[in-house]
Amino acid sequence: MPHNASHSVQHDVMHSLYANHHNWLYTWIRKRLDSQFDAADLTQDTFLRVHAKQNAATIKEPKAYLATIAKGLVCHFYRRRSLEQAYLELLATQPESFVISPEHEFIILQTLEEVDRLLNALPEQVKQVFLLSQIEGKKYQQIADEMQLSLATVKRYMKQAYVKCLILMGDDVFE
Amino acid sequence: MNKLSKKSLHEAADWLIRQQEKPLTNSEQEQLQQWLQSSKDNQCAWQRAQHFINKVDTLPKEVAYAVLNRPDDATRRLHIGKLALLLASGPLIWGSYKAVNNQQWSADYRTAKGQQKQVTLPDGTQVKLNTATAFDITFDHQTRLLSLREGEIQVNTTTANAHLPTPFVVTTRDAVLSPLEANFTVRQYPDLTRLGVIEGLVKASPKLAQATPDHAISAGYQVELSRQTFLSRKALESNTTSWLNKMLAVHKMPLSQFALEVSRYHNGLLRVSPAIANMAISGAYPVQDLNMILNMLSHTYPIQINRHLGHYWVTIESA
Repeated sequence: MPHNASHSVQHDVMHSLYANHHNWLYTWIRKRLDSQFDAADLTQDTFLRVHAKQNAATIKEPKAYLATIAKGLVCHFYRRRSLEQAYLELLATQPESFVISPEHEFIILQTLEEVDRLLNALPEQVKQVFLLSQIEGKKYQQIADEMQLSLATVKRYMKQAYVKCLILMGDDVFE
Repeated sequence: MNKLSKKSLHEAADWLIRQQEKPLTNSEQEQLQQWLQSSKDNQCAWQRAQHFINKVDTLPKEVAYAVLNRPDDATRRLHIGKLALLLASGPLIWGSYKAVNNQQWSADYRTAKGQQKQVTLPDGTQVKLNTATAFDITFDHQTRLLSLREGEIQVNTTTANAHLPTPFVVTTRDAVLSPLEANFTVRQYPDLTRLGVIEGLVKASPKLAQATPDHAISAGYQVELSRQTFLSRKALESNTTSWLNKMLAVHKMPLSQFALEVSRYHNGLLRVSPAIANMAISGAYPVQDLNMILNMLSHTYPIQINRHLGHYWVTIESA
């Protein structure tokens, strides 16, 4: 790895950021989670994200900056956990003929999480329309009848959902 | 992924909606092509749209709707005690496979787990049912419809009364299949349908695909379809037809998948240790004889078979 000036500046800044902020950040996250191990993981993740962005030297308000990233990670953590739990709960209610191989399960969970993140950005009714159409495979007219909306509204919601998801797919917020 | 113009994304969304509403006419197809060719951004937007649709389409309907539509976290916290239990039992879920659900019992024709049988339909068409299979038929003056509910069948329409004017159609959760004097197999997987053509020609189309014309699949080929699209097309594999001879013929199949295949025919729980889940299994195994399958496996591969609860619970572990 090349060891030039900017690298060592970045290194020093990261070092002092970690030294000065690790403790309060951990406490801050710990208050929001019920496991100390998860809290330690997320604290670490927060610093990793800052490191990956290579912009530590330009941060003006480190506390606010770190808290913003940590907040995003905590939200993501809860969403993911509720998704996994909903998934497991549901599997338990399926007939046993419904079997998913472990490899497939991993992909499904990943995809669910991704789609969940996209849909989460939509207003409730728009999301409903989208799920009925894309997951349940219902026709627009059927959805309109069921939800007592006009066909035009259903189409407008579908468009809103597609556009929002397609835009969000472009910025990989969690990657 | 790069930033695309909002205009392209909006237009891509419009096309998706038009496509879903009704099949595109020829002139609409041309317009779509022109739109695609008119800019690189349009092509990228369309690609992203297809990617998105396919992604959503891979989700099994049974879980996706309820999971994505789950109530807010606040209401869920009440259930936390129950959830802890479920989390603890998680790894046990996979590997078990039960034959019969309610839907099957009400079907016109069915087999229990481990059973195979052959039936002749009123028009002379012969159908063979593999293990844990169910289908309904609706024969009227417009069509002869066979709806596969669950499992796997072989359909031979070459023996049917050739003078019947009504078309024979097979539907599954994912696909619509129209044979032209053909002999073919159809299997309903949890999330897709596989069609294998032994003789003749079968026209196939995904149930919800409205833009693509149906494809004619000829003898010697197999395809897999989801509700919206063709997933694969390849030469007929031995596993697609070997069940007709009561065999499970596989080539480099991961052990975990192999265990699921075997479980289709047998009651009880067959579990594979995750450490060897990917071990590649090849060969032909008699589906009815679980003990012989397990013996063959343990003689060929570095694995150890443990039986509990009087053979109702079998675990396969690394030797």
